[in-house]
Amino acid sequence: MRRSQALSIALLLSGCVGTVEEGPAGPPGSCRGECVDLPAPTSQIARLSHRQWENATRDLLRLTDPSGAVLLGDDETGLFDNAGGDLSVGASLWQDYQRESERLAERATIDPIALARILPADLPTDATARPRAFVTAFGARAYRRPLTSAEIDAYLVLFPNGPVAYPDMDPFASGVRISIEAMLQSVNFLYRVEVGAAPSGNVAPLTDYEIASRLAFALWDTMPDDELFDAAAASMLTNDVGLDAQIDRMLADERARTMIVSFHDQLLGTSHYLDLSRSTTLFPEFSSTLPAAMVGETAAFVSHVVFDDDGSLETLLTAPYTYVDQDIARVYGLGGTYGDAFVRADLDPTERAGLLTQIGFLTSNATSTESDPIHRGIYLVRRVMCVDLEPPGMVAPLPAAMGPPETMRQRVEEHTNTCGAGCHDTRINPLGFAFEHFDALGRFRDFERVAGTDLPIDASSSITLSTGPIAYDGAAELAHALAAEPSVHDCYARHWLEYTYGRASTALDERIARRAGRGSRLEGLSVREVVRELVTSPAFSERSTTPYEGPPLGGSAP
Amino acid sequence: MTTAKKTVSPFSRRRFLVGAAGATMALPFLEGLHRPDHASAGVDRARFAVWVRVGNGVQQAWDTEPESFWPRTPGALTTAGMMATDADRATSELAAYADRLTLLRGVNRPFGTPNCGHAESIPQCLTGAQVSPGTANDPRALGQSADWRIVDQLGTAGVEPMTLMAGPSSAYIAEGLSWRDANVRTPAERSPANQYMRMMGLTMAPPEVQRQLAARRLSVNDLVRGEMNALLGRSELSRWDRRRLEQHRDAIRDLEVRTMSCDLDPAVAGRIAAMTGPEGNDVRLEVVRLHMDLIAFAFSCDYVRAATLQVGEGNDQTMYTVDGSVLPRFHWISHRIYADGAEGETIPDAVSLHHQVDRLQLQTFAYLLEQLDSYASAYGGTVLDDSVAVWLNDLGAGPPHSGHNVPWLLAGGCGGRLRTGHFLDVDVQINQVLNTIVTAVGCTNDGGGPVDDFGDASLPSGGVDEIVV
Repeated sequence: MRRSQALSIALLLSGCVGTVEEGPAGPPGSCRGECVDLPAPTSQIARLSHRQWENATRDLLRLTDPSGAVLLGDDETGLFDNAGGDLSVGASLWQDYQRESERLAERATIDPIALARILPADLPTDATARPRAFVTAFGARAYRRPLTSAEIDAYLVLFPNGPVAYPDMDPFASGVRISIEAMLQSVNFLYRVEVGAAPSGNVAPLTDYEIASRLAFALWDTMPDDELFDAAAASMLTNDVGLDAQIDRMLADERARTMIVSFHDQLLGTSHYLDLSRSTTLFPEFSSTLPAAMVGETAAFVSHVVFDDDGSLETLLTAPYTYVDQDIARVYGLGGTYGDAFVRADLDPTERAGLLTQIGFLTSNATSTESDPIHRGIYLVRRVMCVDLEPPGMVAPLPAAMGPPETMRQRVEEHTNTCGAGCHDTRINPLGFAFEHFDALGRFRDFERVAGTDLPIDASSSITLSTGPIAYDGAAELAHALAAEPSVHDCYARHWLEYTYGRASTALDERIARRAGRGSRLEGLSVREVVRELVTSPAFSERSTTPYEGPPLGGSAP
Repeated sequence: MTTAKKTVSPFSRRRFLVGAAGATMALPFLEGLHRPDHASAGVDRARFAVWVRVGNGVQQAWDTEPESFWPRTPGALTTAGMMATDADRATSELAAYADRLTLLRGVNRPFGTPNCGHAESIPQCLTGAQVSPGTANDPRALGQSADWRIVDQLGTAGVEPMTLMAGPSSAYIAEGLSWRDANVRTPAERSPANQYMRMMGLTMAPPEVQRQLAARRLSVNDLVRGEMNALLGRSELSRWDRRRLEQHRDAIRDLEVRTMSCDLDPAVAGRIAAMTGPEGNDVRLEVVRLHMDLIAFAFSCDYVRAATLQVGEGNDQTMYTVDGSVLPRFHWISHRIYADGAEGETIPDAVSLHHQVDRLQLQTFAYLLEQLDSYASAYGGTVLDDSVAVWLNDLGAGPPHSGHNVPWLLAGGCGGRLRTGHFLDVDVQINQVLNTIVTAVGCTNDGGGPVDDFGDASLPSGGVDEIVV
């Protein structure tokens, strides 16, 4: 076992935190044997997100394409879609689960080739033994653990109902069909159920199978594959060597690429890009296909940096290149010929750097006609620096421009100065002003045209970070400063903790996230290594015995 | 208004729905999709409420802008009057239903909107509750909504209110009318086909096969419930986990085979099947109409007692088509400029365009009334007579996006409990109208009397007496 002793929170608070936070970053997994990560309270029945459900049904039934399910959307209260402890099943979603389970069970059994893909290789020829063999083998994949004898017996009672329900089918196939209908509606498929091991003090260790599920849904957004199941069966996930081997394998897999893109999509809110529009009179580069291209730009860039470049947060924030298709290239004003495929394009490193100067982010954080330094600044404060801004109270909208022409920056300064620090966080403006070279479509500009007058852009500012005051002129310089800022790396790691642990972070998680963040900043850990650091923490493989009693009221969506 | 009344359909009239979800979909009728026979059973009659929400305010008098929405004079409404004297007002689109209308001018949103007028108004519409502070475009209502109050008190266990929306899921400001409880928003279904599938199921089945279907599902449900009960028996589950699991278990319903059922117009089923890309701009109002078809159908079958339909995202960005011309984004029209904010190029004749969109919206609401009126009621009259259908805008006038004088237009007498045929000037909060509506539908307070305390505790109690019979 990786750890068996019960440890108190008092021990954590009095000793290990200070050592870890002040000491060297250490290699990945540096907590092992030297300090203690305690798990935060977590739901014992984390419902699969719809993305996970879609992937898991595809993989369970060994489908060659997505299942194409129709599920009622979730009311997500957090930044990510996979906070399974906060996801519920109401009457409408249950109906969807039932309908889709029946549809998928038919799809998997009506075609002998499809059926053959999900039958165990050692299926007996004896007809009386086949139901048990199927339920035992397939059930273990559906429930993501071996079934108990009582569970097998329950399915063997259900199995004979198949031929009655589907008299036109082969009797065995019909039994398989009704079994799949039930398994896909089972609490053991729809949720990650973690009740397998007895508590030991403040924590309860997870079983190998529970760890396998946590890993698979964290790193792949789907169920474990056969190799991971084999590792669980061999108790390889409750020892460091076996666990590390699986994590390394999984992070090198293409499914991790998809997951990492999905993480950044949700962090940046790229799905909202699809709702963007601009007047083509003011922005002739805008087209109906541009919003989807904005999403594609970010996805292609993230995928390339994480898997084909050095994979670091620093590069995500500062890379002097991006990926463009013909729509995106037009906004950047690039020469040359571009088509529908995304290709790498180098950008002026004095103008642009990384994710935060991409078209989608800049357009999404703008009004329909103008730059929006306030909301660009708010995004950075909340999502890049992880500062919880206090509710501002009644917000007065930016007054319409009156009198002599003024830049957006001048107007925002006047407006927020009247408000004061009490209602407008002092970090918002200096961060947002750095992006003033970018208009409402993310086009670079040196002048802002106001009432027929070209006013020069001032994107210079300064801010005090944890390392002291910094000055910068423009978003590229700011991006490089942020890439060197400890709190930015800590924040990024905190987001990853929330994503991989499938829940909101708590104070108890801070030391884990900060250790990973420090590794990212000081040791040059790549994004995948940051993820590795998080999921190799003992806190990932255990659960707290303190009951999880739901999310904080109000949610945390931006 | 004279309409042909739809009646109970024999089983043999069930139609296939081809193409939805890439499958040939046929229609067995699940529990609830059976014509009620409450009148003969001696139980209280079924009553229904539906709220249709439109955004961005209406073209009513504000600052120097003209009044183009309300009739000229409060008092009795007549079809002739609405079509003659007030023909230039948007509400004239409802003239055919004059004697079944209650137009309320002077309803006010109870609480301010510190961050976003749209996002923080919508959650108040059916809750009369405050919203959680500081959550920008995703605020949370701090109270239950009226549709949930109705189904909780009057509905079949495990049946949720129909929660529908016509709009994109990528919206920055999404749905926000229906709240199961404080902080718990009900996701809205965008696709009529999905909602239809949810109501109907997937497999065509004659009665004997229905029985097989019921038996099969029962055996599956029993197994699933057994596992849930076993898990619920574990003492270490937190209260939160236990509540979630119990909610899931209670949502599981068994199929009841019945011989009499109601039937959706095959033409509507065909339109649903033909619908592709239901979140797209160009089909926005067709989706609204199909949702309305399903709401009327559901009420006629007593499938559910309450429904909501949100038209457009929070700041409805739909580009509506009027007389063949595609208008600028509605939100831009409501600001009078080609922009979402305070500055931008002026939209010529935006006031007139706003009025035209108002008319379009009310023409669409009239479609709902027509559908409700096309189903015969088990109690005489039509389902519209059993219902109260509400058209509301979460904002008052366009440019100020204020919460003052938000339009609430009611249609239907709710089974004889609401007065109709008048246009009233009132000065009430939304929660008072909600008290009146949920009471009319049949809800009671803890003492068995009229609901008088819906919404935030700080708000005035009681209802709108002028509209109660």
